[in-house]
Amino acid sequence: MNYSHSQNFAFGAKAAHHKSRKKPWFKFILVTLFVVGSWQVGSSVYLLVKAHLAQYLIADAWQATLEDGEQHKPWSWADTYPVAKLNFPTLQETTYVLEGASGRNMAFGPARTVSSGMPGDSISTVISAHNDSHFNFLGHLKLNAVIDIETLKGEFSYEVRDIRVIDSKQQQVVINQQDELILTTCYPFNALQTGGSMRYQVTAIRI
Amino acid sequence: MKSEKRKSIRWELEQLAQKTAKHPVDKSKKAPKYHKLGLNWKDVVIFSLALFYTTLYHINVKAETLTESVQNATTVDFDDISSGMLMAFNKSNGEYRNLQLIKTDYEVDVFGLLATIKLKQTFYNSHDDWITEAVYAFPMADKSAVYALKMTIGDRVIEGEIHEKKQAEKIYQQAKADGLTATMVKQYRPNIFTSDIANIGPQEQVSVEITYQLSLPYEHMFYELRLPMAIKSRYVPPATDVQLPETFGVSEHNHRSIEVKLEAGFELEALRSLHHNVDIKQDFGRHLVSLKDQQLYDHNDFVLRWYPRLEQTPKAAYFSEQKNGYEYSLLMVMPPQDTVKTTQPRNMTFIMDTSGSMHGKALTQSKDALLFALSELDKNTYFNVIDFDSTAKALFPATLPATPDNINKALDFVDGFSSNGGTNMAPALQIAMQRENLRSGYLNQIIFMTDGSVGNEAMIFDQIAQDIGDARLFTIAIGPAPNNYFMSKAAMFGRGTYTHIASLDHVNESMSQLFAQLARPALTDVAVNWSTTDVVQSPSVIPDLYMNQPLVITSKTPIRKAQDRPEFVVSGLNQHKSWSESLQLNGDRRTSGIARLWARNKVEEMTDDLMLGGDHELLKADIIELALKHHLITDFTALVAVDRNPDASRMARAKAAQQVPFPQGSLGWRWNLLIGLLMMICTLLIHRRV
Repeated sequence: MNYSHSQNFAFGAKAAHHKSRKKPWFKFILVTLFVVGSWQVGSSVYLLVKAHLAQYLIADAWQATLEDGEQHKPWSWADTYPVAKLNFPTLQETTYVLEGASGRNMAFGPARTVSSGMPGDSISTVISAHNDSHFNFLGHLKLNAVIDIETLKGEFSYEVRDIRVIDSKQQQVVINQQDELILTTCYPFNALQTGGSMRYQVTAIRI
Repeated sequence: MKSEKRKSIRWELEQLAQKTAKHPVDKSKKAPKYHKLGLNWKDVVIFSLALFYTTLYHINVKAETLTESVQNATTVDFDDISSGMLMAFNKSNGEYRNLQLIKTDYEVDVFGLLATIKLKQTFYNSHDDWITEAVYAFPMADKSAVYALKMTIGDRVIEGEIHEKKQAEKIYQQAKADGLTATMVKQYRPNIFTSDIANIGPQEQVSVEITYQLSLPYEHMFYELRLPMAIKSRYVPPATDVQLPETFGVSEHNHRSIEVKLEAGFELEALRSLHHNVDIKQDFGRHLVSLKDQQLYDHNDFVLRWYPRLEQTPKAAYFSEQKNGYEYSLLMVMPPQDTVKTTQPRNMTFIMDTSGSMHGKALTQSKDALLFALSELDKNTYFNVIDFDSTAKALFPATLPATPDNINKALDFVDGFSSNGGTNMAPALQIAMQRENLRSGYLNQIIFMTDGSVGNEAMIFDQIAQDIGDARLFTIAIGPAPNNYFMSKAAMFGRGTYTHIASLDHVNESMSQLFAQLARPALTDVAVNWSTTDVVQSPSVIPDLYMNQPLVITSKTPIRKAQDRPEFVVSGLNQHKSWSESLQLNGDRRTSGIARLWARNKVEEMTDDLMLGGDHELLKADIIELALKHHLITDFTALVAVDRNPDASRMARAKAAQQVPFPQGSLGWRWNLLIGLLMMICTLLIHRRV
């Protein structure tokens, strides 16, 4: 920073300082408030950007997986890989599913619960995502809507048969011995305060 | 407002003028003090944003590398499992974590040529939650017929049933979903079995007892019982796809007991355990052998050998069992031994495994064995040495005479071996079996030293069976826990023999035995002519027999045709001269389990056919039929035990444990964004106002 530059800045700063000399800590509070504020904004923007950009990398990895049938990590240090592509024809939404429904994976895309099944098996497939990123449209999904899912085994279609809100403190996802797709996300949608125990669950049966 | 601002600017200018006048040169020193708390807020914002994103980035990277390293450290595959092991499936992260293994008991009954082994392992769920699924893998003696499964939970004992694999899987999965405790035992590899156990309650003890039978080999004047204690880790070339579950926190077991009841049927010259301290008690014709050191854990197979008195050396033995209208028999015949060395010149290719799994003692021992072999060569013999890990390298482009000069070159070559890399056998075998390394008119012998740590066994067998031609493949395993199945099967397809050298003290002894075998002609085209008809014999084609090797076959005859005093003629070719010997056996020793052995041999034959490209559907149907009839576990059948009578609350609790918790449902960026924006706007407003 050259001298004249810093001097110019100093000018403006001093101008403010002049009046607030009575409260020297006031400036500090202002600065702190601003830093914390931008931290908050920054981290939420960071989450959103991460969530949306990651889908492109995951899409590439899924394409590679489809070509050679092997697992591909979307980025070199990832500990997960895409296992399926979800398509909601009625909503014109497409998203890629990662393996393992951990918080870390769900920041990047919908994720499959490992102990659940895969489409084509006679056991429920549980896929979860956040209601303010990849599953923000889940609330618009109607009964009898069709969900397509593409896995390495081929394409499978499911029809929405049940939509309900469940308190996760009292109930868990029940894994049934039938080929069904269970999508879960938080409820309510568009809520400011999150971390509640309510979950939105969509159950679709293989057709 | 305006006046204030103007005032302040003037004040500012005055201050500046004063400063420059007073200390025109000292500005750099004064500047920081001048800025003091009046730091330019834009600078602060830029700086702190930069700081924030760097920290965020670092935290993220750290978290990722951390989880990655943890996962790398805990990824263990089935092949690394030392002996029986129970692993529980952790549903949140998809890992298997092991249950505490309390006890491992072997109870062995030996009757003549037949051993019945009960392997019981007791596990304890020390956790406070239910374990929905656990997988347990254990090594099995080569050529064993697994036929019974017993699961004990508390005081309930559940017997296993045999089913076709798909059916078994269905029954097991249904039971698992219903909250019933269930076990399914499957064959993972021919000598590695796995059992899946569903719904084990908190603080509950489960024991799994597996019963299997095998016929004992009699070679080099002794009988041998071998109980494998460890599964050797296998090398699978990267191109081959083998799916294995992940394991977590695998530990070794802490208590082990082995009890052998030995009824040899003849007087013993000696009885010894090769690698373990044992107590031996004699009780009339019986010997009771028990393991002394029960806490001890090592990777050595438990090997018991017994030697008959010289005058009682068996020439033939016959055991039979009558079942469902058939008489099943087990026959052992010691063919006439020709002690004359072969006159045919020999052409020998030595293949040495120098992969990472051979590191340390195994390599030293193999080198010793190879040096011994090289020193035994005479100058009429042609030879070559091939060394392989991930790639193969031959000493000479084609085999050369064993002149002192060439031997010296070979010794130098062998001395230079060091172990690293994978075990990629195929290229080495290909070199050994190609034209440059074979000589017509010679006895072509390939001596293959390895620990057999391969995963793509079937591919290698196929290669050997196709390319072996007139050559013979002899396998030598070095080290405490080789893949016996692979070694003996490879030798079978290569029409040679398999030698296992467990420890350094046995290298010379075993190698000289093998060399004696190699120097003597094999008995070929061995056949047994029964005096009755309708005999189904297994193996249907008897392999070449080498010195001190008995002929062992199992057979099935309709009872009305079976004779009290079985008669047959054993014939074969010995160095292009035919020989035959007719035998009539007096004593017929009845025992149970012979039918199973016969079925097992038959299944093995059919499995070999499958590996070599036989009609899959036809062979599969035959194997399943035979296996269901004789209660055998095969590639296509499995044993299942389901606890059908638990109380309702147990079922409900087990079922409840199968539900998965809802994952988090939102990123929660909205709240942060709002708060952040509010704070920033407030700051700006206040700043403006002041």
